[in-house]
Amino acid sequence: MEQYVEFRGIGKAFPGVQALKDVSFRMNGGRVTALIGENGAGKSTLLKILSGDIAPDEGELIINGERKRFSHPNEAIKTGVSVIYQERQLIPALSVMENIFLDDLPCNRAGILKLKEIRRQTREIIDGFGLSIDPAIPVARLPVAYQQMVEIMKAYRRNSRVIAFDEPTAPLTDAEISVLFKLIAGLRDEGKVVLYVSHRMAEIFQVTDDIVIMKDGRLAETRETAETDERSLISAMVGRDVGDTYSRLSRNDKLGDVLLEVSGLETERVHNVSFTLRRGEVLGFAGLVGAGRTEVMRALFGVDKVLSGEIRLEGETVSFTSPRRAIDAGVVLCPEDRKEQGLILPRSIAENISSPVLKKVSRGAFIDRGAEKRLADAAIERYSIKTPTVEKITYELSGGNQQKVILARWTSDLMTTKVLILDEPTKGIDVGAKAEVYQMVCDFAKEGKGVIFISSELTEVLSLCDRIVVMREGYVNGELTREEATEESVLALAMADAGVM
Amino acid sequence: MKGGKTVREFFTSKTFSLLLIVVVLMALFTALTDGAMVAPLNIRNIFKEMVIMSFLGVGAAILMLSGDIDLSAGAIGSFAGCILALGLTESELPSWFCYVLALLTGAACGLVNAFLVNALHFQSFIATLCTSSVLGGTGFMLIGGQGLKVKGVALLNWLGDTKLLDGLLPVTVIISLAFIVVYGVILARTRFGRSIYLCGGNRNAAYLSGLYPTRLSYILFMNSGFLAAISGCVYVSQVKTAYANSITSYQFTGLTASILGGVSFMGGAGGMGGCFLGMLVLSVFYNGVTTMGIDYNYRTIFNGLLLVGGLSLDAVNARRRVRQVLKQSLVAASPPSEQEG
Repeated sequence: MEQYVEFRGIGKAFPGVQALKDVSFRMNGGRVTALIGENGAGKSTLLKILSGDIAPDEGELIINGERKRFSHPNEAIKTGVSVIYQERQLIPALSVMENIFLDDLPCNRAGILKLKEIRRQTREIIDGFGLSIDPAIPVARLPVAYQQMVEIMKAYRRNSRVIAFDEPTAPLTDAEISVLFKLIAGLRDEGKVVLYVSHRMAEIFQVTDDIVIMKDGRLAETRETAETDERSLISAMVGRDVGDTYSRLSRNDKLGDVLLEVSGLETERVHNVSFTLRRGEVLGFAGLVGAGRTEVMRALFGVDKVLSGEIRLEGETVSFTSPRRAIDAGVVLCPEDRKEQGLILPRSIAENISSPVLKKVSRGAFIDRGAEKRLADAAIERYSIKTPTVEKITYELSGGNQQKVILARWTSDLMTTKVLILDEPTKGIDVGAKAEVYQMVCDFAKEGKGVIFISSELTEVLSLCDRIVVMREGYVNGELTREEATEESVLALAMADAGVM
Repeated sequence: MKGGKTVREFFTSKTFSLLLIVVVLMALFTALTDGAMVAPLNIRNIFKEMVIMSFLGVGAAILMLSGDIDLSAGAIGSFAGCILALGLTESELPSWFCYVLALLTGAACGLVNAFLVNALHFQSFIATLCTSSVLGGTGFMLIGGQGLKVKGVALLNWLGDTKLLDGLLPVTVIISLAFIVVYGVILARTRFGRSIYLCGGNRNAAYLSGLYPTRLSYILFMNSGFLAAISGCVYVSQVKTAYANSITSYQFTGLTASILGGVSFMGGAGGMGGCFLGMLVLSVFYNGVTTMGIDYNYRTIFNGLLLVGGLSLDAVNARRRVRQVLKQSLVAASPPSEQEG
């Protein structure tokens, strides 16, 4: 019998965002279906619906002709659906075999585990995968790539009919990727439904048969892999208006003198990092995840310890021992993780905006509520933050508005920001809010601030920044001007040794 | 700005539900006790009931706002009471100095807690469980199981027994209410109070916004120890005897009051007003139960039940709020997506 999974009119809303709207498509057994789309396009929400993690508000999920409505991940597993997430769902302290058999451990009548049996079966699966892993070793002691493999074995052992991979190759090396692809081809040939979510274009052409493209929570289109190319996929993913977004920006064209000079910066995580930033300049930092970009900024901001090297701000050597010192000197950081490190979620917009300038909105020990409200009102006006009042708790805002609150915090009327460091400021916010953030970045530059812009979205860095520093494994691997920088040249620097230049 | 919406907000607020509980309880007990509940002397007793728990409750609330918990407050307070009693009976030191010594002891115990939590990265729950255990035993070692009686100390008697306004207003009540007001103002109006909310709401983000959460944590643990010590000293002054566990049970009353008053266990939300009303609810309840002649030791039952009731009400309100937010955001989110499609 032919296997298939069909999504029909799926819709799902979260506070502040309609994550999915009217998504319908079908995946057939014996084929590998790619699911692609920008961040925030709704891919992970769709996966969570497939795995029973969340229930859709509307629409239905049909598996082999049966209507399914999972209210618990366990129901999905029993139906034969396995979703392999980026974050591994293994129990680190347990052995490989225990993890593989976790949801269905063979026992005898007294409830004692049949360990020999489990070990034998695990051995068989591992051999079938062509790997050499000791079934009894705790998962925590395996390299990340192997943990990923164990996760796949788990799905395989369940004899799942539907297997979804969420960015499976992110932690893998080339050799491991080729093993994975062989496995996926094997699953396909057995007639299983395979869903493959990835950002990496090359892989999609290598391993998939069909492509489903998502955009802003909707289905953009579906195609056969053999009949399309990378370029048209990207334009379908991003939409035609992207070029417009960038060309419509009103940029700063006057660079000032040198504002920030970093030379030979060393911390535990980054080595010999040097760069300069001028007034009015937008300096991009590109590189793969884990290349050390965030760590450089944390050192600049006084969070991570600087082991050696020099930081000069407006010609004077500085060394910040805490964020407070950095802020007072005019260096500020919008951290990568908005909810963990950026916002104080249970507090109001006003309280979040005034947090670095509490002294300036106080009279003696007491906070001047009026002054605080004026500060916050001015900020929501300037950044058009959508809220009825500044008393609103930031938890209740949408991602884009939350990001604007953080930007407002660092550029409010009472701040004397000179260097503004933005770490992944557009992560997880919708296209409209992104365009607004881009314009804000240009406006900061026009005001004579130096902006450091970190992003993993290459188009963004290429289109927005005057210069791009490319990092790789803790080192600066090269620097490109906007004219020199292309997707290829940046990627080459991000992935290869500096010798390639 | 302030129109009908604000009124509706008030009626669904924590403050309103707590006030309602106080009124209902008062009415209920007044009916059950033929009016004895609202006699002036009994009203005084209600507030007197609140004295010991108030210092512990304030300390607990503030620490919880910053995202930590102090399970050693009862033990610290009892221990400080022992130090006070020992100083007054066994030494020649002036009595005011014994009080100061006891309060400093409390703050010092708080410092140890802060060190365990911030320097050794213990969970505050575990750290304070350890100190609590050690202090309880040490107090017992110092004064034994019989307790230590303190007699004929002028300052002690004054603090414990003085009542103004024809016996209707004990000094301890004045002190306890004053502390609640002062701490309430600090929390709601000052920069220091704000930093407690910010650090409690998200310690990491507060640090990256230029605050010093570790420094704050030290201050708050010491403050918790200090307030616990006040509580212990007041107990000894009232009862004229120190025990190794004299106020241990009040610690949970203090915690209960804070939670009932809407102080978030996760930190960052709640206030002193709610905490005060929480204490008032508990005092009214204990007092009513006692006035009716029910064994005082049964009160923990009501403690638990009240908490369940109060928090259920909270959960219902919270779910209603989430639904509202969801509805608003859907309305806000749909127009642009319509245009695109």
